[in-house]
Amino acid sequence: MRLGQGKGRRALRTVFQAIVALVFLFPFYWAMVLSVAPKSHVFTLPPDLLPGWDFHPWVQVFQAAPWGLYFLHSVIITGSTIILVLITGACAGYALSLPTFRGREIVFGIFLAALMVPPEAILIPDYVVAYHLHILNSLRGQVLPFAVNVFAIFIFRQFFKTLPSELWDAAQLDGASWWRYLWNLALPLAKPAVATVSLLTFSSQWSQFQWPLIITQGQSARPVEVALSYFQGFDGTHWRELAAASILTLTPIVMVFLLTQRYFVVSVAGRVDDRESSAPMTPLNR
Amino acid sequence: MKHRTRTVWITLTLFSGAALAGCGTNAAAPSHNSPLHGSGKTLVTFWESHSAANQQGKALAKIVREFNHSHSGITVEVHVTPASAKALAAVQAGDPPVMAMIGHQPQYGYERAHALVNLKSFINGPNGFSSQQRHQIWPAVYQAEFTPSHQQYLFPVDIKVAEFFYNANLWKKSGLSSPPTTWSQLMTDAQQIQSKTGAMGLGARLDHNDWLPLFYSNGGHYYKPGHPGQLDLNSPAMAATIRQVVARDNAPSVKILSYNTSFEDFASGKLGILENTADGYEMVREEVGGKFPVGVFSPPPGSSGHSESLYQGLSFVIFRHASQAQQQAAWSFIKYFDSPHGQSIWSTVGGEPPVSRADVASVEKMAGGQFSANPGPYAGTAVAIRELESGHVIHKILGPNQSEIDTVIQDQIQSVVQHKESVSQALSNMQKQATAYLSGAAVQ
Amino acid sequence: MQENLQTPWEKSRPLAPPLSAARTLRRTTKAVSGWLLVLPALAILTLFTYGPALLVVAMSFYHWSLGGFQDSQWVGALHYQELLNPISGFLESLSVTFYYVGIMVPMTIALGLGIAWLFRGAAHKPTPWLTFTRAAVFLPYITPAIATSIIWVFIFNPQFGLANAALRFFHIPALGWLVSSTWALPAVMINNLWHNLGFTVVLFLAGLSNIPGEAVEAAWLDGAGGWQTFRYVVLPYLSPVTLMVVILTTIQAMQAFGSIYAMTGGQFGGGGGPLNSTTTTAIYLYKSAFIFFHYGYGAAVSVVLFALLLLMTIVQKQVGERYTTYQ
Repeated sequence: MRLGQGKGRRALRTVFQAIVALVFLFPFYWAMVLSVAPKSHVFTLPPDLLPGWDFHPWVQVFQAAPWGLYFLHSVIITGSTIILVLITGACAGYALSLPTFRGREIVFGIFLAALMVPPEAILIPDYVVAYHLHILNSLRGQVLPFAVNVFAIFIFRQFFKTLPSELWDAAQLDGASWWRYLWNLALPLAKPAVATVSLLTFSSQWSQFQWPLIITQGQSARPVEVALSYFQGFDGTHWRELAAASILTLTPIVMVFLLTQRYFVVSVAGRVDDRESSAPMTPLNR
Repeated sequence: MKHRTRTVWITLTLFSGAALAGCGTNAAAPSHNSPLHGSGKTLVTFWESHSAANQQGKALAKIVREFNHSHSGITVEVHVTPASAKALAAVQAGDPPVMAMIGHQPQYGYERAHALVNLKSFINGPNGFSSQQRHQIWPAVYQAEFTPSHQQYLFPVDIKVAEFFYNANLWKKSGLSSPPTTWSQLMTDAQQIQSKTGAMGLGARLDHNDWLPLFYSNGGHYYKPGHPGQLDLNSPAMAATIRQVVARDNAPSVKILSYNTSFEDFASGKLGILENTADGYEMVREEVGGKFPVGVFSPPPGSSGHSESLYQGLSFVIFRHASQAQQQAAWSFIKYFDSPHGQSIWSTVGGEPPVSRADVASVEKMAGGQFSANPGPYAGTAVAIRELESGHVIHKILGPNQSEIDTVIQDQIQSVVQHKESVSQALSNMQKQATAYLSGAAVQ
Repeated sequence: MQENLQTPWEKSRPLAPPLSAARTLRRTTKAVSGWLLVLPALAILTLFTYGPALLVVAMSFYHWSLGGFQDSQWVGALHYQELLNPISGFLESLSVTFYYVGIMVPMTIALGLGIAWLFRGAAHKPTPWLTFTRAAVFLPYITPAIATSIIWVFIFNPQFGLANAALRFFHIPALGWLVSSTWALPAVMINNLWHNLGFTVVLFLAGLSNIPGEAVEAAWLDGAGGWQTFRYVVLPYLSPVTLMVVILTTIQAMQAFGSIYAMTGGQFGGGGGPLNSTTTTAIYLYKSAFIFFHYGYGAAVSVVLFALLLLMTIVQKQVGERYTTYQ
């Protein structure tokens, strides 16, 4: 009886799915159109959805600011953060998975407590700490506060716990230390965890805005997001250029997403199955 | 074997990561205050907030290029940065630029941080300005550069005086021929444009301090005459001002525009008159792209019989953090910028009036015969110069709590505009709240 | 590091019984090694999370100067009194925040659940079409809010924007959006819904994938209709995810910054306009500390925000657990 209504319903559902997908993709399309539209086609009523081509805004954008420098900063910041998050996360996650580590429960609780601290609430004291560490207006200052991600620690812990204990026993028989076991056996097996943590860190770090806005002043450590917001402030009237600049900022993260979207979605959804770490956690985008 | 290659590979990644982080560290090391460039030149980092894509940014870049070319020992390096706010944070972080362009109000934060060089020693020094030269600088502009305790950290550069731009085609179609001479005539003109052409009459800006010139034009003042500490906001002048703003903002022929899009709105040809400042004229003309001629007029007079246009803008500052050589080099740049040659570029390319009466001739010369044509390529500058020459240009009263007081006034006026309270309620509320700020009872 | 290049698994080593001294050493190493491994993480968290969480409370009682305690002036509860003073605008920012959160959370749940239900096929066997459409919905979530908000500013342009073009199409009068103190916050909400909904959808999809097919089939065999199945079988299964979404969305909404900053002219004095109509507590906090440089006062705002978030999370968890069934 239910099978009878199937076909029409399925077609209808597909149409709705297409509409929803279009709504979510439209702003990206709109930005692209805007960035290459001839000037006379931008401010028209009704809006022109398929204007012609004019690449002048892109030339203007590159002339207006040293984007290459800002991109380099963002790449260095994101790259270093990923590496540090992987190191601290794998080490701590491994320790928490060790049955021999006394104090495991306490440390786990301490890490869990970090998730209860909303980043917004410690923005000001973090600035004070950064001031006293002399890392204001630097790339280090944009990496260090994010070098540990409790969520990453939990992902690694969860993974290492799934490794059979025979592996550890065998390694011990071979005379391997915990360090060799972690380095040579466990970590190479942890590729999925490494991938998940890298992706989540990449996306959150590339989207970082408020912290870099606060701690950078000149252009010597300015990342691309902050540069974009200044560009918006000073060139708020140059809409086509603004659209081009925002596409410039979006491109790396969108590319990575398109290449890895299955991983991405699984990484995020993974939180649902892991009740321990699904306690209120730092949202992906600050 | 497999394990070994993997170990080597991971180690390499880690090291390259560490190296990357390390090289980032070097790139981020404070660099503004190493007085010498690689080539033995004195480096002057200069933070300012005109985008390189704007007319003022282009003019500035041109002046900097010429300066660096003609001064072999100095390199001025422009960093486009919201300097008013960011340079203070940089001072606190111990890493400010050598010079910057900041607003009048932010200077108090810098003064508290002892961050700025008092420019008097440079102005009165051998490479300074003679008293005759100083008197040629527009009085309202120059007076605004002093703090209440007569310190001078600022030197004028960016002079924004209020102007109205009009679409000359729509203007002609509506049968208008001369600029309005009273506030109420401006409103009638806006109505006439709307009824004759169907276009919106007047576009006003929400973020604009436009109540202030009205307030002055109506004979108002912040403080009771003879009582410098007592606010005088609950006054007939303020009541008249509120009514004017309310009448304007609620008139069907007037539209409140966002700063971001007001130029496009005007360029679309569907707006008769745009409220703006002198520096916007070149930008508006660029946006319009020759579709119609753009004319300019000054704000019409208020009940006091003359119009008081507001001067706002940014000024040069030099930071104490910089070395003596850098401060000296920065001052040479300011001198160069304020020379007749520098000012002629600033005014013709950037579209802002020159700093001094003495520079008008060189601006006119560079502009050529079209200087006083209105509509014309330099009309914005020419009208601004006439406003400055008339002497009826005011600057904001300056003081440490002024921006908070202005915000209170602006919010109260807008509450009346939105029918949230009556004029008398707004008057007593603004007096009460602003007094609270003045006495320091309210933090912000 | 040198030592590690030598991998013991490649050679077969004779199993010599270890010396007892070596055994003791190894045991000690084992006990210490756990702490060594968590040390880097703990150190950084202490520096940038635990320490600041304590410092922020202390700072709120000082007229704080960046130099540290010795340069700062003890003012007691002055900043907290100031927060309660209507002129300070803090209470207004709280009401803006609650308005924002109060609309965002139910909207996110309703739309997120609806869209997840529409894409529920993706939860069990994702076809290429479903994978693509789900990716489209998720894409905004991973993009930097500052970049996409710029596009939304243009969409909400009162004259040429698509938002008003759409309204005109349905013969609804155009709105001022970002220049109107009534409609600026709804414009921000639309942007943020678009931006964050993908996250919720993916969480709900994961929740849906946990529902065993038999449960649904059993309901159908019992003669339950589509709505009844959804209401009495699917929703109970989704209750843990829903609780999680409520908590995460609240936290996210309370801290929204970049989008509001970009849409309301943050470059001109910190944003939050027109007329403070979009000044949420997060924007208020930013302006207090980093536009007006009142660090101590900003710390007091932070402490209140901190307490509020903690309180809301606990209440939501307590109340939520009561209505949650874990299968």
